[in-house]
Amino acid sequence: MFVLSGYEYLLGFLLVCSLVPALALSASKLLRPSGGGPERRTTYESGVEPIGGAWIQFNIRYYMFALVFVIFDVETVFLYPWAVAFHRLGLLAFVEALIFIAILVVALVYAWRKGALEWS
Amino acid sequence: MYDFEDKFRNMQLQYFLLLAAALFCIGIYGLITSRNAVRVLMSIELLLNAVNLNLMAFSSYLDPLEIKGQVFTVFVITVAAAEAAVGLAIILAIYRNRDTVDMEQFNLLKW
Amino acid sequence: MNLAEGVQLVSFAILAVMMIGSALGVVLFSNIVYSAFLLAGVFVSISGIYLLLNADFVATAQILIYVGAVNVLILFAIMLVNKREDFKPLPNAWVRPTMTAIVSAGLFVLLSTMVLVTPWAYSTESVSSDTTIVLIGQHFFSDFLLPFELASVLLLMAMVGAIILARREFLPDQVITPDKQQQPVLTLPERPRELVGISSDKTSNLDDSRRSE
Repeated sequence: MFVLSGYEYLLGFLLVCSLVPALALSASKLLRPSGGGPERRTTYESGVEPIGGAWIQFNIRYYMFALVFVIFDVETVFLYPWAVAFHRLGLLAFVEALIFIAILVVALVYAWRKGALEWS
Repeated sequence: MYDFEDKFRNMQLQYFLLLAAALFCIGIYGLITSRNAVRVLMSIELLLNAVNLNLMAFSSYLDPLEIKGQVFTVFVITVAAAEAAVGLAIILAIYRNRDTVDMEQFNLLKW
Repeated sequence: MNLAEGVQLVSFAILAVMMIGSALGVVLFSNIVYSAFLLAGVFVSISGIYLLLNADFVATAQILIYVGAVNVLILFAIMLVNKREDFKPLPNAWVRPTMTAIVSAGLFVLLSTMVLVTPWAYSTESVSSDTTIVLIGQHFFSDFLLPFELASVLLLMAMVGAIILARREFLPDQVITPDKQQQPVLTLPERPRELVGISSDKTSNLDDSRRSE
């Protein structure tokens, strides 16, 4: 039993959004000249010529940033209900949320000290 | 005009539970058959999502006032995020030592 | 104004087909990058199903954490271990997928009979007038307080563990020079930074020479 209101607009938006790429691609297919020489496959104007394949090994630094992001993303999800229900919860909840944040600040300090936040 | 019974007949709890069961079985299949360690972790995420789907369906149909199932789901999502972070780090460490992500090569603890 | 029942059923069917199809793709594709992107499809469709179950906050959290963070983490990890390797064929390689498929199908049959046979005690109460996010916030600070605080400890432990595991780079072919042993006690053995700097300089030099040609 679905009770949330306002989601018919979301559905409408989704339908329109799914139409946009299909319409754009088909319209450009109708309008553009077909064919074209070998230049069509080259890099456009001031683009840099690609070197090597795209299947290269990435640097571990990307993983460190993603890792820190995951942890603080989850923290956001926990703090959001607290912020919305703040007026009903009172002082005790404020202290508890501060403890929660303090523990995660320890995590932030650790990541900082270990250099996980630097692009060294 | 729909009455209350009809509404339940249209969108039933059983649909959601069957969907979650299917997702869980797909996850089990991937967990056992895949040889890439990253894919094993992805299958574990599928399993956790199937469990979450069950919790959400129960909380919506059997406990719409308290919605404790949703609170549980938030905790399960947290644990899944922590598990993914540590699990992928373990895979990276193993990859650095063994230079492969093949599950069949990780047999140091096998007799 | 609310969504009509038929619209709900159709959206549920679309989401279910999307979810099962992408989940099968995750498991069955041989290219792991396709699997990772299809995993995002599974997460998005599950979030849509949460919306159908009146859980707007959890649907948002699903998108935010799974699609925004966990899937990105998985993609980065795939890029890090991205070496084209052909796994050595096992003897009797067909046995395991077939057996597992049989077991999984049996499990599904078992679970679905359980689901269909059990008389579920549907709650006849109407949905609470509060929004779910306020209810979840009240649960966090009343009866789920200890799990809430433990979640932060869990996140702290996960972060420390993952950083230690991911940053340690042993270089077994490198002789340990005496100045490396005078590092402070708490730092981990890591790849010296000069290596990274030199290699990045080299590539930028290469780029410059290519550009000047």
